[in-house]
Amino acid sequence: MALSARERAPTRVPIISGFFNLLRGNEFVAPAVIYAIVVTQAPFLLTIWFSLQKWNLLRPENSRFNGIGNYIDLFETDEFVGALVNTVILTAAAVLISLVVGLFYAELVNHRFPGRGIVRTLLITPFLVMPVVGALGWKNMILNPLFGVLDWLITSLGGPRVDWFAQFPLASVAVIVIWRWAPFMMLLLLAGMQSLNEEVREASRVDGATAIQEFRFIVLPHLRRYMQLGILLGTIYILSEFDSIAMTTQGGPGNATMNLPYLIYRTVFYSYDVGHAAAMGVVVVVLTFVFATFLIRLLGRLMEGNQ
Amino acid sequence: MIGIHRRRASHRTVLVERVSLWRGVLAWIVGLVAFFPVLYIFVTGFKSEQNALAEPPTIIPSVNGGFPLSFPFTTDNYAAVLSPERHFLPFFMNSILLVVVSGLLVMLLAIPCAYTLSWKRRGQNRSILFFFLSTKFLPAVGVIIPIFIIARDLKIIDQPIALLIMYTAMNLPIAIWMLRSFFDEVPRDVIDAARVDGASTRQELFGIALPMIAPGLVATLFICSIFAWNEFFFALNLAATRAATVPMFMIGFETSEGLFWAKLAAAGTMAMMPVVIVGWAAQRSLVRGLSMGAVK
Amino acid sequence: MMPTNVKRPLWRTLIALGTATVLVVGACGSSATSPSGGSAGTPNGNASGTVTVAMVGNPQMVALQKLVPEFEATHPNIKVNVLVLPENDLRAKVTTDISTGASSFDLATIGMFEVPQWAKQGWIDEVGTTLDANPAYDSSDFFKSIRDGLSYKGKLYAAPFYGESSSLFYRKDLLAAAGVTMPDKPTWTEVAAAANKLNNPSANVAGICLRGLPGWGEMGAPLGTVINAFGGRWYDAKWNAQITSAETTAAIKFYIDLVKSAGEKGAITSGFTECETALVQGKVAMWYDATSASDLIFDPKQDANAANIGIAYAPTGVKSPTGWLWAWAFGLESTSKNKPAAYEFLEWATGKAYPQLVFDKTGSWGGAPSGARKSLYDNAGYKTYGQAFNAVVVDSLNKVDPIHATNFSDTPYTGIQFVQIPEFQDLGTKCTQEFAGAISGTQTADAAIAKCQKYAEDVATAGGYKK
Repeated sequence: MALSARERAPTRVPIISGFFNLLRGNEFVAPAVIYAIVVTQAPFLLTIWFSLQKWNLLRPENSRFNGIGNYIDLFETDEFVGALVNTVILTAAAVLISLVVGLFYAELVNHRFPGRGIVRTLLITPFLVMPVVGALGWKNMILNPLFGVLDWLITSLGGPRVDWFAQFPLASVAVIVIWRWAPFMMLLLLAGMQSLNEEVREASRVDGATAIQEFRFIVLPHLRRYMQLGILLGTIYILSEFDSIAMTTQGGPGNATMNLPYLIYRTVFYSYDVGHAAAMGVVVVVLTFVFATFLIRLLGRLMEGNQ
Repeated sequence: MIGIHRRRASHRTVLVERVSLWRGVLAWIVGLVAFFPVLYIFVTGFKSEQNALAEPPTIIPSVNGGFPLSFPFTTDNYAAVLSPERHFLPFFMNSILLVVVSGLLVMLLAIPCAYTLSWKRRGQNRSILFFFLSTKFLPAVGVIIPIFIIARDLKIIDQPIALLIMYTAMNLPIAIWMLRSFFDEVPRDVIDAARVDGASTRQELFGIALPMIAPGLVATLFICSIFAWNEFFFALNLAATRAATVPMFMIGFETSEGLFWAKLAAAGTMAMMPVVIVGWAAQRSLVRGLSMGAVK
Repeated sequence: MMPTNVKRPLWRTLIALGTATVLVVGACGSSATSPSGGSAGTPNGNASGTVTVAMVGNPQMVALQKLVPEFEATHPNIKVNVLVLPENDLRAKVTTDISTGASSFDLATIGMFEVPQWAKQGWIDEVGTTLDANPAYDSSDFFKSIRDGLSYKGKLYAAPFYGESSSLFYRKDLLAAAGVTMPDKPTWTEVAAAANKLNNPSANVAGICLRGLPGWGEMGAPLGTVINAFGGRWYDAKWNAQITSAETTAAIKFYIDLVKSAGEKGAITSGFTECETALVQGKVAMWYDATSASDLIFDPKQDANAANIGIAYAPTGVKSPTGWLWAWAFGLESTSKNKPAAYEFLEWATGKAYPQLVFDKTGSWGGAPSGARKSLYDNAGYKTYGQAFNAVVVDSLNKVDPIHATNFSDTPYTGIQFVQIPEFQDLGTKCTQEFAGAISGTQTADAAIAKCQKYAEDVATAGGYKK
């Protein structure tokens, strides 16, 4: 499921010794670390082992050790690279737009107005809805060109009928993902806004700052840390987005919405090709590792803590 | 906010209230639009299968659907969903059990860990925190076969314990990350004062720090519960009939042949209701918890 | 069925957690299955134990789930645990389970595609010998095509629950209004002409609904029969991929063009259910799909326009007949520890008396499994219910021939709407995904066909079929 200490080549030795020191010296951290290692690293080690095998569940008679053959195959197909690109686009777009929409939501309900509690409730709800139900709802009731509310609205106003999943596949999937994650961002950012001292905002207003200036120079800087946490957690979760694709386009049309999790799913459950699926899994982990390292460096302050 | 303004500068009150009204209307519109899919799923649960996907869409329940946007109201779908042969209760109890027990386990593991990461040994914090995050790098589907094979060899397929183990591991990273950021907010001097008085780490944590972050703890527990309640993929693969959870119950109403959407909407409503209701009830403390207002 | 069984593991889990740590899990397993083990069972009516059944959530299985208490009432020593899931999820789950020997289930509904492959691997038991030996069960009652399709090396490996061929459904009212008459045995050329004539975008009515949802069992099924009808095929005698052959290419382009010019809106997310909805709602004038749809759309309880539905044989081309063949059948996992009890359930659910029981208990024939047993079509009640469509269904099932599905005598594979090799699930899914791309316009049909050809070549080579 993740990287064991050994894969982290650059800082290998300190980390290993660090782990052991830690486990020896601290009964507070050790249980969680040991639990996570046992439960997530054992399957991951098996995944690495499987990724070196030619193994199809439906053709057990053809199984054999395959070395790095599976990895070579991956990069020879456009499919894997295409899915990689889609994953990056979908994740980046969905995380950033969720963040902006979440910020908008949060700013809306951070002010008093009649029924504020109810509106906040309405805005949070998409995050609580089971992803499978939410995705099916969007597919069948909102974006469906025959029965969907959106197309009904558009055609009632004299517009053309749009087949959203065919014409704008990745955007349609992204909308579903954003709908679900914007409330999460809102929660984080609203928390950030409410921890902002109201006196500071007020003071700026007395000094004649416009609402936009106030937001830009007072609120946004204060929210930075919350936004960083939102980006990090949002990225981790949306990278493995699966339900909204499985329930709607199944990666299509063509490979327009094929992301890595769905490609792995198809490799496991349509071709039952455990070897290639495992190799993809390992590559995903390595890439995510690189990406997350980069992201965390970018969001540096997040790691420092307790200042 | 209005109150503050009134106290401070009465000549601004009118202006601020006008702004609030405009914001209020906008907020209501945005809120209703975002909520619409959920509302529509809920309403669809009371339609007949044929009306569920009729055009024009209908949203107002009525006796016979006589007026625009209305549909004949029926409880048939709920009757089907709750009919005895579907055995909703066992699924429900499994889900409750998993959410509660995995939530407790996560807290048991995460609280001491997060506290230590926040207050001690800073040199290693980075790698440990990163390690927990890294356990979420591989999508579940990428490890499902190894996990399935391990579960098979442990003979825990279709036992709640298999899902319990996975859900605890699944939520551990986010719990540690969130709790650590809450512990970070506990003022340094409070802990230092306790330490001067000779408190042990255990006493610092359970006697002082933990009560101070209680709202954050609740918020974390709630976020973990949402993920555990809604989890579908591990449940689908590691459970069959005995350990099956609510999402599996719900998906059983989807079919590739025959109309199913109204029944699925009813089942989906049942499935999401508990989390939604708890979320509605807890949202104020959720926001407060996330902002750690209690600390400041 | 479930409550008593659920309590045990819950209780056990709590104890496990209470006493020590998660590590006691090892002790938690096993023993959930019943003591009545034993291999190859002979049903004796006295079997006992717990039977765990995995079923696809189609209407016929949902009706079966409803009737499980009836079975348990007459078989007091047997408990039946049922898991119902959508087709994709169930297939994924059962395949993983059985191929890794996890053995979570005793019985599972499996399709005609899987049965011979799983029989070959020894994952499911041969059931024909036991079933044939029971005169009351009357296994000679099954359609021959269905029985053949579920056999491996001449032996029956799964008990047929319901079977289907494919046919064309249409709205008589819409056809009449447009002045179109549908022959009993249309050709694809005639159907395409009718579809284009019936297509009326301003009224939001499409000419025809053809599955455009990617998947070997989704778009792959109707498309496969069109390929056969046009005289195309997936592979030639030497396992050279034939997607770019003139016939196959023409068929695929025909399908894509027809969906684009006169097909349903939202084609690439449309499968059986979506098309069924569209037909029932009057959004499409025709629909080509499984004959088993008849039981749903001709049922006035499920379709207000049932009286307006017409049925014709699967459209043909240079090859005829072209209807597909599929059955959902109960396979008995070879690792099952409850075989005698499993046989009891299997003989009941696929037995001769079962369809009538469905009608008696649910008041509808809509949930009765059809297309497997010939005797159903002699049942007076079902005869009346199915008078509009029974003739086409029975005749299609009698004529269908999965061994000679293509227009060639040397085709190396069997299967009509699929190629009966394990790799086809992936191949058919990838290709239909490309074709969906062509339907939505993200690529040309030629580009999609070229990619499919390459995938098919890769499969022939990597799978060791091509020497």
